[in-house]
Amino acid sequence: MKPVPAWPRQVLVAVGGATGLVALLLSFLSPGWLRLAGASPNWLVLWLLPWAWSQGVIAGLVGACILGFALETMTIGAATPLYGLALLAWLWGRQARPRKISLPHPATMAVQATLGSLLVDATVMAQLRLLADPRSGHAQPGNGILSSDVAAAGWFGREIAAAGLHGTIAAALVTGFLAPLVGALLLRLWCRLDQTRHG
Amino acid sequence: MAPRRHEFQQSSRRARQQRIRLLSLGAVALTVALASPLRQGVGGILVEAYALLVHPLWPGPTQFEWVREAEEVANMERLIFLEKENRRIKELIGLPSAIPRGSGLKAPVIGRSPAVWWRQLTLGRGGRHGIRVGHAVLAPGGLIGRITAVTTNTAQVTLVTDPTSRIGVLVTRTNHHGLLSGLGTGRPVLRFLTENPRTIPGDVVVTSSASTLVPGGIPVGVVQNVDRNRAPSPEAVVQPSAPIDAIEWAEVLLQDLPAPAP
Repeated sequence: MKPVPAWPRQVLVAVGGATGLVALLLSFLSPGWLRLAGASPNWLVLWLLPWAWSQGVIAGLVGACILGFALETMTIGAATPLYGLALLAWLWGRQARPRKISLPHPATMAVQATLGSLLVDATVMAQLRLLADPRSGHAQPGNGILSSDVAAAGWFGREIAAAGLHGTIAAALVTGFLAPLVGALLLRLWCRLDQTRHG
Repeated sequence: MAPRRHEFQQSSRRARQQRIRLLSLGAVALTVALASPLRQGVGGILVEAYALLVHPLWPGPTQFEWVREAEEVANMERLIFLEKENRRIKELIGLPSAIPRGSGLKAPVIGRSPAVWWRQLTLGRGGRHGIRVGHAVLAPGGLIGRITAVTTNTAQVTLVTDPTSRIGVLVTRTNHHGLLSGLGTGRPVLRFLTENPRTIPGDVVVTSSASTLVPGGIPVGVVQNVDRNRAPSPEAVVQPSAPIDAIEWAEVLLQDLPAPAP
């Protein structure tokens, strides 16, 4: 029997990082792939689901924080998906069984990814609505414009919620549709690397 | 008797000749009168037949394109002339001059918003090419946003549809000013500064000359509908004239606006 090479943990981290980077780049791709009603799938959620499921809470949280922070730095405004992603990493990481990774039912993955996408978008919406005005001087570009007078009038939050709901649902649906495919592929990859690592 | 008879014969011959002349003249007049409509009718039929016969040889779409191109060139020349005239008049009355032609930098769109919450573009040109934070970004159709972050080779554009975007605009027909705010959807909302803006759907919205953020007079979009019952001031939904979701190249106006007076 051919001896299995002992894969170091670095390989797993490198492959995980590379796929995470791809997920990040796919989020910004122009023209966007697989858009539904103008909303792209939540690629980071699609990456995080199998990663946290297979690697546990700590690795999941690290991945979520790195990718969430990277996305935040590449976008405008103060709202960040980091909190939502970290919450998902914790929730999904708790379901991980060390050395006992099995492919879940596609419907389970679809539902989890849909709910995950909704959760991340809900946290961003909450930040836009509640954190109000982290950008005091809105005359300067990039500082944003959630100015306190408009927030006080109340219309801004309502409009944002109404406008965001449409995109949030579209993104959640398309993420859910893709999850069985992308999630299964990545989970299989982590399984193989993990099994090889542990011999 | 003989001379009288001869005279009678001569006079009757003359009368006959006159009758013949009159009849000939009438016949000629009648012929001419009839010939004109006949000629027209026959001519019309012949021309129609000719048109039908040479139909394959008629000027085709290529010739039509030539005409259109000539028209476009003429329009462009007229536009340049009007721009020059406009600039001269603005200089005379002391108004800030519009954007000079050719002052823009074409930049490819290399990235888009990752989610509905951010309406942004990433351009493949940056600080190395002269782009600075605050520069206005145009696309065919009008203004699409402003530069909010610059790296050496890239620049981030906050679109007019982004929830953090606010731009002072003007409705050209009524001359009413307002604030164009993005909502995260494809269509920003225009909040008027007056209670009765008299704006109707179809009105064109351009950037305000009073704006300190973008140059004035750049087309932004068209009013789609107006809600007069909104508090504290009426609002209108504006459809951006530039196809923001489809553009692959944008133009950055490398023009720093003068800082507003303190």
